[in-house]
Amino acid sequence: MTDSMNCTSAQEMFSALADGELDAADVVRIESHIATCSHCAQEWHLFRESLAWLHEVQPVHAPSDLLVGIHAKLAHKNPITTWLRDLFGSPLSALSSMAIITLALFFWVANDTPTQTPQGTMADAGAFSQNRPPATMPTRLPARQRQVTPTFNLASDSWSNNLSSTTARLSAIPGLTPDYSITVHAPSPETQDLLYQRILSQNHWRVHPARNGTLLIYLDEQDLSHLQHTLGPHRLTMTPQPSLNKRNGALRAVSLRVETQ
Amino acid sequence: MELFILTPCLLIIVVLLNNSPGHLQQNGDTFSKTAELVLACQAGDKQAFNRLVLLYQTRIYNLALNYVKTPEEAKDLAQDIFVTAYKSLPSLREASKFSAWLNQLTINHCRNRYRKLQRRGYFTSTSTDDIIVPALVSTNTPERNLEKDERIDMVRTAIASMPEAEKEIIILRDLQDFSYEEISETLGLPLGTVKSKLNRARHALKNKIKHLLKTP
Repeated sequence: MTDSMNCTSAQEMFSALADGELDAADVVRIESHIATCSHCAQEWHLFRESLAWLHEVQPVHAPSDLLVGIHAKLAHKNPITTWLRDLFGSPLSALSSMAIITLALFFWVANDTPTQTPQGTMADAGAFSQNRPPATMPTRLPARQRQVTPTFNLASDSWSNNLSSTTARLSAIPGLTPDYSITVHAPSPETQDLLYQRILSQNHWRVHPARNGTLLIYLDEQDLSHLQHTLGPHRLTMTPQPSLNKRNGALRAVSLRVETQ
Repeated sequence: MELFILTPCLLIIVVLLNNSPGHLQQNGDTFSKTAELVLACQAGDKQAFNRLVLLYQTRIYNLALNYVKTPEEAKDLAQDIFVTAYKSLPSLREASKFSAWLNQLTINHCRNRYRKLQRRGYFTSTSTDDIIVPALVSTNTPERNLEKDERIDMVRTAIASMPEAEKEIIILRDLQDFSYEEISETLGLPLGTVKSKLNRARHALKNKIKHLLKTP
């Protein structure tokens, strides 16, 4: 068989070859070229090796407070426009009304400034206006200040303290109600701690601490049985009972609490 | 005789295949679930929006992380994307196209944020050493993990130094596992262009890390 391919056209097909996108005839052509061309053989080897490195980059978990932050941003950006929208009906009239109110506030601040700053310099006026309540939408905090990192230390006594700050954020999520509610009855505080640690160490679900030692767990419905298995032989109550016809890919929210008897 | 043994075996295999929770079936479930959630969200159900976020947050966060490098910035970017999605969702006419719609929204946000940060010199002052990202699954020994982490750092650095268009197509195909069709739809490029651009981008990456790779 003659080699009907040059190096350039062979290397143009490397990507499709690696992805299995070539038809059988092209695969034969390119493979026979690689078999007879040492330069392309080396390039193909390096190409595959670099792809293998690339595919080692695995996805990472999204931060546990991503959803809380979204609701914080929605709540942070909306109050004035929402109020204006409720007041004036349409978004357009709300926007124009906001512009009018902003202008009015600007003139009010501008007229008020000399009486508060006897020196009357621009710098003083700027400093003064910073001390006033914001006249328009509040400015966004820098990213570093907006970062919220939930702390979660089961071993320490600060468990409930750590939870309370996280609880405040979680309770801000509107409409977050669990599909299942599980209460586990642990024989001792040690077992209670152990069960919490077991749940937190699993990769099958995502856990958010909620109020009073309750965990909010997000999982695929098919992992419910795995969760029950993780809880071991301890007595538990679960409402409602899970459906026998589990749907893979169906995301479920579970509220779980471990109580000591 | 053999026919009597083989026929029930084949039947069992067929039944098992039909009932197995395969990739396609799972995708189908997720797909129909998404459409249901989008419709519920458009009807004002906030819990449906929360579930959409939980369903897509890993994908969106990882896409953002590949553009802006640091977890803190990626989280902020991912949140902004979902905030925009929430506000724009009423304008989405076909619930079944949510995924493609969200992809385009995400790419636009990522491009804008990337350019904004680049103008401010953010990427020149950020080292890959700053990136501490725990992988979803880790099964190797600490030594192997260390080697792997080093390789991943080198790959991320190489990707970060690529031109925007090449970087984008590598991220979508090789890090986000988009199909050629999804890339074509998201970037608004013909399928043939996607293939040729991807080939060029992969060659460019190979040339960047060539000196680190084992030669045959």
